[in-house]
Amino acid sequence: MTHSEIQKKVFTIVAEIMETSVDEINESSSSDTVETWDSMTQMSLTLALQEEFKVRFVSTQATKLASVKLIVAALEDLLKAK
Amino acid sequence: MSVDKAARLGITEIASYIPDRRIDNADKAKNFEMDLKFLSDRIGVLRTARMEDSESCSDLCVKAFKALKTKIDIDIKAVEVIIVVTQNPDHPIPHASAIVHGKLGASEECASFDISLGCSGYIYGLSTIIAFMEANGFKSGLLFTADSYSKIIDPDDRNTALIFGDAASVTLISPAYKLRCSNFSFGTNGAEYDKLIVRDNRLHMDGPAVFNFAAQSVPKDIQRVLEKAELNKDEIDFFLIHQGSKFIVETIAKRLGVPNAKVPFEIADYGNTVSSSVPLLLEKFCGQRIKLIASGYGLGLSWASCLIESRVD
Repeated sequence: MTHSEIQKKVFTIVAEIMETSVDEINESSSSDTVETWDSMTQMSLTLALQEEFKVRFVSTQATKLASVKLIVAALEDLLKAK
Repeated sequence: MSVDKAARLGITEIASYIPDRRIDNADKAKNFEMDLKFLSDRIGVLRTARMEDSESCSDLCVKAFKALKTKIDIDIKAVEVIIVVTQNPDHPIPHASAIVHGKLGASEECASFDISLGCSGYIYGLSTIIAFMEANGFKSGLLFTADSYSKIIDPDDRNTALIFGDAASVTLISPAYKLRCSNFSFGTNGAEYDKLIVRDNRLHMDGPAVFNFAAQSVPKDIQRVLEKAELNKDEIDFFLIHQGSKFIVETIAKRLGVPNAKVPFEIADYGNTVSSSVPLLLEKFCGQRIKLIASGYGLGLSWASCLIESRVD
């Protein structure tokens, strides 16, 4: 899966979990820029990403993935290792 | 496959006891640098109920029983089994149900035992007491739930300090029932036992791990009950989901594909009362013409669900 394919899917999932329009989500989106992105929606987001990409984040990493950039980078690493 | 509709025993009445004392979460949230919107919209608990320091698990049960007596005429000497679901008994030894038995003045022919489970415990307890009574030809049994988590919460732990409240419930099981219980489903993931655990007399919770487990396991378990009962979710009036937090209850509703209006969340004033959370919700439906699914999940990790519906004769 290419970087832009991963990114596109991440945008869609982030938008769905944060209950916002996908147009509002971009590479710079994070818990600082999206109002509904908090520690609870972070858990929901992590679970949705794991289910969609069929990967598993280690629990210490999962709570720290609070930006699109960090999520895409972590997914690329996990998918490469598969 | 649907079970025989002619159940012999079921829920005759439910009563509960929630202590009057409350701890306000707003001040505590400030100490955790948590804003009030997060507290009310995500956690959903504004106050937690607290028993007095001098009270014990058995005291909570006795108070729930007193509440039951105001609803229904019950002869304690006719009760043939007392089960207490708790993981916070008065003492590690003996079992809390023996103490409750003594305090209520039950008959010496009355069996008493505890079930050591948390938030899934009420559903396990229902199945256990009904099966035990049917196996022994009993006609009157009391199922208590009583967990005093205030005794094991670290007030400085933001993962747990704002969630749990103390309460107890009692459910009278008899042939003169109003609600019948069927199509039970149970589950355990023992490999994850340490995600919710008491160490050094303090409760430790791995929030993300518990969230993942609940969000994934509970909708599947409820679906299993629907399949066993040959029902679809539109035929269910309400889904009574253990009240872990507002966010987890809403997440389960979303993943189940049912509106929040069908999944009550009612703990803002007293907190997550562990094994008592489902019976506290169920109490008001006793006597109504209703079809419900009840589901509990929590430590173990464990979960259980069942169909609860009005008597049909």
